[in-house]
Amino acid sequence: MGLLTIIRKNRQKEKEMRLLFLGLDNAGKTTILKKLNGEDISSISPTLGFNIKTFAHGKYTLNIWDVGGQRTLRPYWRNYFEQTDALVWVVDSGDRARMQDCKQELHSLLTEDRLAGASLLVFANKQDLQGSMTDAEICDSLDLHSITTHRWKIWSCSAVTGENLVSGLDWVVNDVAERLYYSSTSTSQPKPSTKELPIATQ
Amino acid sequence: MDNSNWTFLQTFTPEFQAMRSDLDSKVAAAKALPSLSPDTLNELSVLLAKATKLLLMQLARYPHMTRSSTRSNLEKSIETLRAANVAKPKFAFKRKPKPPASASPPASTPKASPARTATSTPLSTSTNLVLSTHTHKYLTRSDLTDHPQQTDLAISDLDFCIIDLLPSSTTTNDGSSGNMIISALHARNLTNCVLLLPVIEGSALLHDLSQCVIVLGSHQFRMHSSKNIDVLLSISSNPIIEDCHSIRFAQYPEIFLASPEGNKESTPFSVQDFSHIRPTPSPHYSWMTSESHSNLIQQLVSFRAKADIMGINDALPQ
Repeated sequence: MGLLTIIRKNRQKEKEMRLLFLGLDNAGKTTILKKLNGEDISSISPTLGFNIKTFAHGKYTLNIWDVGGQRTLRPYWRNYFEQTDALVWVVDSGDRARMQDCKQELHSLLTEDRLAGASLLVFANKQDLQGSMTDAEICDSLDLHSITTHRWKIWSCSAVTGENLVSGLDWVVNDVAERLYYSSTSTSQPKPSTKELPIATQ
Repeated sequence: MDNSNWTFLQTFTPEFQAMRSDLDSKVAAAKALPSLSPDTLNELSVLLAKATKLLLMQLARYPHMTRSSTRSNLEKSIETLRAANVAKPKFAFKRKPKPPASASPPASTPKASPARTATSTPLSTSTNLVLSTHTHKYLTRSDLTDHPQQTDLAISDLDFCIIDLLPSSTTTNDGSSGNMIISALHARNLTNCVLLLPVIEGSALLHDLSQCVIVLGSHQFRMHSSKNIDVLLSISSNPIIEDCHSIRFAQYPEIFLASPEGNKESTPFSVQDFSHIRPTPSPHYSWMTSESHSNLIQQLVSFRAKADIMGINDALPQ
């Protein structure tokens, strides 16, 4: 084993990313994470505090922070901003009544200095529910087109069925990778995630 | 408890106000300057952080201070501070473009956005099931507008109403209504109401209720800014309350469970109070005694038999 191998291995280890999952309460942040991780999603309680999940996605290790969205917890979101590579904003697509609230919280996050470089993925969750808003409608409601300070994308998904969760994560991981590890991404195409997502069985 | 709140406020408020006015004047002074030095900005940020920290510390130290007036005053103070914080980048970071404000939407998407927002507002009321603005009524499934089989339900602004959306116990009703699937419940601003719901698929979010009885099964349960509520609940996760008081919990009545074959014992649940995050038991909720539980169920059954709101006052928590 030569020096180059050791250096490469070390570099591999460093390929970590920090993702922050935020959104209003009842958006489905924890459910998305548990589904991605292949855990049971039938008895998830509203998050009091936060959850951390670490898993491999392609060749990167993701450290995902999922912070509760209840109103009393939102002032504490700022404690988790440091060194965030990507912000994943989860939206309950069925909750038309609180879209304004959702828009305000998102746009106030985007003015935060410590999130300045982060990529933004908006998950339009709960697409499995009839009558939920489409990603285009949510894009308008949240006024995403006005965002010029962050690279962003909206992704419709369903945490219950697992639809589009991995592909959304692929986008955000690649977007961050282009920024952080641009020297090594140019040759490699986005690989499908190593973890197969269990498709809904219930 | 009120007394201690007062003494706390008397010592804390002037200190905080002084800090705030100091900050305000400094921000104003900074705005008046033609150019802003990084030092000034740093100084302002530090001041703001101090004030916020002080406020948060005090809030954390006095969590029992739940009287909504004092609390919302403090929250307002936080809001104003936050607004000041958001406003600052306006003059601080000139390198950034300034699109987050009002300037950009017409510039970036002039074609569609005004028209689309106009159409999306009526959409929000039309696609889901709404039950709103009634008083002194007994409302059942027949009072609902036509809706798809799976829908979310928004209930708002009701006073002295019984909302009975349980499948009809008599055989006269058409079978289709028995299959109604509620994907989410949003309730807001209900007073003196009895809400009788089956076990629904999704989550329940309730805001601003008072003097109500809620009978419900759901995947998740969140109740905010409510008082004097009896909740009979069937749930597999932990229900949560936030900014609530005088809430009593009990199990969902077995006789209202639709299918006898799905006759699973209601699982015991534990309540989390987000306004009382500490090891001591929350003073904001309690468990209903089995005696008042069975009394309440009897009253509910008799309401259903009469399909009338007569005597609703006796069933409501005082």
